[in-house]
Amino acid sequence: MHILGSFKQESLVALVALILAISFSLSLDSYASWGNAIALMRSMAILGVFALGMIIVIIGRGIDLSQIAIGMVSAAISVKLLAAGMTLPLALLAGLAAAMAMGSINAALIHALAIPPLFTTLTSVFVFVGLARVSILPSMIINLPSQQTGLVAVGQNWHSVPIPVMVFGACALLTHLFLHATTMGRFIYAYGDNAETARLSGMPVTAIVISQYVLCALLGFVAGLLMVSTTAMVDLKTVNSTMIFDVILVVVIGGGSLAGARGGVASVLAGLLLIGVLLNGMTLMDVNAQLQNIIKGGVLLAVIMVDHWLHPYDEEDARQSV
Amino acid sequence: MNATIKMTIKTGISVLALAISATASPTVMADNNPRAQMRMDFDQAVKGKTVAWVPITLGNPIGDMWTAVMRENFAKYGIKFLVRDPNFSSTAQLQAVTSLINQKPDVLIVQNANVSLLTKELRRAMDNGIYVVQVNLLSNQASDAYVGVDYVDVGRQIATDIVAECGGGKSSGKVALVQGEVTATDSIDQMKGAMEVFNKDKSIKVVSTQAAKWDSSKANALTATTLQQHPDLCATYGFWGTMQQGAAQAVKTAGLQGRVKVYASSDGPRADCDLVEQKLFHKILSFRADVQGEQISNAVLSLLQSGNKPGSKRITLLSNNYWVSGKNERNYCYDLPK
Repeated sequence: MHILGSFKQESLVALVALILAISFSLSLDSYASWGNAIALMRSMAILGVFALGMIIVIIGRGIDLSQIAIGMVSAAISVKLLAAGMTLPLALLAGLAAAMAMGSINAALIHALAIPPLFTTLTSVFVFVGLARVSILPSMIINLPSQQTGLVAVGQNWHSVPIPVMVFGACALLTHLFLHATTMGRFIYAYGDNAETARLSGMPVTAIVISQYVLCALLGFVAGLLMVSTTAMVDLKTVNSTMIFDVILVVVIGGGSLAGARGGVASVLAGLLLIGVLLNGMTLMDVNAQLQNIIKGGVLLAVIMVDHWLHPYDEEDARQSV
Repeated sequence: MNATIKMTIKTGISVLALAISATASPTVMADNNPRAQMRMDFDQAVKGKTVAWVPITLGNPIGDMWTAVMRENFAKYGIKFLVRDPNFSSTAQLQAVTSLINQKPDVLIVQNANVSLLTKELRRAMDNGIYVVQVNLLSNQASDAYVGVDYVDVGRQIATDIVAECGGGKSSGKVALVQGEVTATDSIDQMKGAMEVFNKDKSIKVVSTQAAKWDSSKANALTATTLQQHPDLCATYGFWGTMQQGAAQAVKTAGLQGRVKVYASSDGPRADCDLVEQKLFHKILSFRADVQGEQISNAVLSLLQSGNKPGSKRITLLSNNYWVSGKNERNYCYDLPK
């Protein structure tokens, strides 16, 4: 048990994913193929980019429930402007600005007014989507004009590797470098560990909070664009879906902690691997939706139980912040 | 001589008739003239009446098209039109219906989110003297009118076409179905109709029946995975055009455009026909929300003129389905009014 206990949660999750993958490949033809691995990675790329944004916020002991809304609304603004005849760079710039503005509003409310991030971002979903709907997005479904091939090309493959997977890879690398090789990244861990000490030590706490939520929003925008590139449309209904919980699930199961200062890009990768292997296998076996939910819930519960057994409850868990 | 007398009598009768008709009041004249009476009766029955409408949501093509057509029709005849947008929330829809019943409109139109949510309220509306029209999904409570699609038949029609194109050894016979929400009645009904047809044909093999929850991005991911396992797939059939657009893009990304036939049932938004023209969709079966909007309006006008007690009789108006397989059928899709 002691040796097992030294395992980090992400390693444990990756191990479970590996065992699952092996058992699927024994029971399913052509499961263990390069093609299927590619399909698995492709299906996880969008969720992965969202999760990279989320882990930055969660490390800083926050949470952003409005991330999907920000991503979809800002991507929808870009698509709407493209449909109105704007050039691609300008439309993307407008979407980017919208995402940054929404991220900054979240940060301002959380930091300046000291409203808990859970409530702030839960309510900002309604404000962001509502404002967008009454102003420039009256329709929830916005189709990408067919002559706009640039964005759709991002959803295709490059030498049999899906471009969304490469985008995810690049985002993962940049996020990792940000968290571990920059001062601001290290500050976010410190702030997540103990916000008060961080403030008393003279860390720029305002900048820390703003950078967390703006980066989360930016990665949300990238994920939103990836979604547009794969489906050639924006459906704002996604905002009402349970996707945000999948994002948080990926982060938390891989080793991110809502108590802050734990996890990193490796946790996102491990969480994605487990969820990806599970969903991919169940899709191939054509398992029905209800059974899928039971299996998904069961596996997640098992991982959490094993984690608790290996890493017993401590005072850190008692100070949940969000 | 005789002829002259006859002529004189005839003229006399004509003059008399003219004199009588000239002294008669205009109302009496109209009473005897059904052509003039028609519009007066119509206006009397419908003018100044109030119609309330609660869809599942606005902001999507189908809801917006229905609403636009109804608004135009009702405005033309001086009918007051109230619209509430529950934005996909069942509780908001129930609240909207409850408060509208208390406002006592003459007709209440609802698009049911499921078969049970509004049953009690629809009964209460009819008990309070309000005509109830249900759209596209009949709840467990029957009402004065139902306007909408027979989704079991839609499933049957599309499956029959797939069998014709993929069955009998012409291809692998492999078919993937992309369901909506598995608990949604329109999804369940299409599944029932489709499986009825597929089960009868030994050459068809349904390899996937995953649910994409009406989400094009999920349909995209599911289809990509299915195509990986079954690159020889003959057809994929999505239970809603907008959702199936994601599957069409997955087929294109896999380099199988034209080889895997992408089918969808559709309410006929322009984007669906565009995809047919771009050969991303093979065929869609469109039930045309614009025509349905006219059907709903006509059902309301009929009920207001019927004189029936609300809840006493039932009428059903089924939507027609139109195949769209190319540019020539582009008029079976609608453009939203600006």
